[in-house]
Amino acid sequence: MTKNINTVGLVAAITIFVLIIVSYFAPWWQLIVGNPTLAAINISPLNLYLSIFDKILTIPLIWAINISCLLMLLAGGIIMTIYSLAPTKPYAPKLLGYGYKQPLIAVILFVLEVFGLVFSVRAFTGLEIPLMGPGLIALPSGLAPGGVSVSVNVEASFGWPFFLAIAVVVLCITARLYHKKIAKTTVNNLPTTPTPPAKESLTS
Amino acid sequence: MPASKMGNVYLKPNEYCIGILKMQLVGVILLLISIGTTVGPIGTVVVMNSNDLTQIVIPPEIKGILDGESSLIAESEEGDFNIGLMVPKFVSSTFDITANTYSVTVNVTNILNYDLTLNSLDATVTATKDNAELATIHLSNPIAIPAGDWSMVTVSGTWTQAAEDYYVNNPDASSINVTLANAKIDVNGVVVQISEPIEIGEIPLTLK
Repeated sequence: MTKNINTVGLVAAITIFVLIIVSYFAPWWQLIVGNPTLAAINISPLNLYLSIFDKILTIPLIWAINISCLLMLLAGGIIMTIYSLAPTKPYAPKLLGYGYKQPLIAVILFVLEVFGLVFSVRAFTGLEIPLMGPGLIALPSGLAPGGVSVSVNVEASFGWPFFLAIAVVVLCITARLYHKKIAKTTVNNLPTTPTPPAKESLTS
Repeated sequence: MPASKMGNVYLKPNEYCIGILKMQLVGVILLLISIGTTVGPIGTVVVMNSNDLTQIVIPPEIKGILDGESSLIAESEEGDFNIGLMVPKFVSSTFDITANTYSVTVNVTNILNYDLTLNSLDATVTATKDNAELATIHLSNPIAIPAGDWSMVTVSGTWTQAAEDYYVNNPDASSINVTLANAKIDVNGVVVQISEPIEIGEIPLTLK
């Protein structure tokens, strides 16, 4: 009897681990200010790199959230692996239900974070930070000295790990859907144990 | 006792109870993992910075700037925060009568704790006395200005008929007081456009 393995889930689990590694070194979204660079913001759920005038700034709360996302994705990858190797166990649906959601939560939180950052800066400061592509941010006239207008070249881009994350989410959702097929196949292949007749059970 | 059904499999009562317990245990473990991965790191940071919770959001370097320290972006002996760093000081000039071109060398000081690159400089030179447009200037190549240091910046341009007329009509003049107008400076991608004239002062008119 061949052991059932959710291959889609296993591939999803492996790509979760790959995503964790690349997300630590490559940003999901990047904003470069100036040319040569005056300031840079590299954002991913696992790492925030904030540099102004070559000085790297660390925000402890963001660092904590990064660690939280790392643990969350790591747990999701491990649990997804365990599920994929034993998808027919009675507790497998619970494992799958937890594992496949973690990358999805990470992507949703990241998108909310970036959009929230950009649109809140636009709303509170009037600075038109682009979400993607080059742009020219003009300093509000109230902040610049009289007779002087200041603008700065910026460039924003989504990194390839972000698109990898979307692919991971798609794989995890596919694994979730594939589980139904595995469960159905398992049910069809199981030898059904007949219920003993009531009379025989009383006398046995 | 009759067998119980867990999923599509009939189990004995004790096996059924054990199965239920296992599933509940898995659920509890997953819940603990969810809470631990979320609350653990954030709670740890909050506890570590419990004496000053603003530190968890505002980096110490930014807090220093907000408190009036300017070591991050400017250095000054007096301790003043002075961002007026791009006012050039005249050093020398050369003229090419045949081509109607000239070059002016100025000294630019960078008082920031950060290397700067002057990408472009465009301006119009006008006579301070009557605002006559004398010449245009531009920077031909980007110039790097190290932190806390100065660099010689040479700009070039062509002069106008008004400049020639002034020279012809003032044969005894050895210098002329000029002003930079409509200056546009690009430093590290930060473009500063100054609509107010910048007084340069006297520049020599020696062509020999």
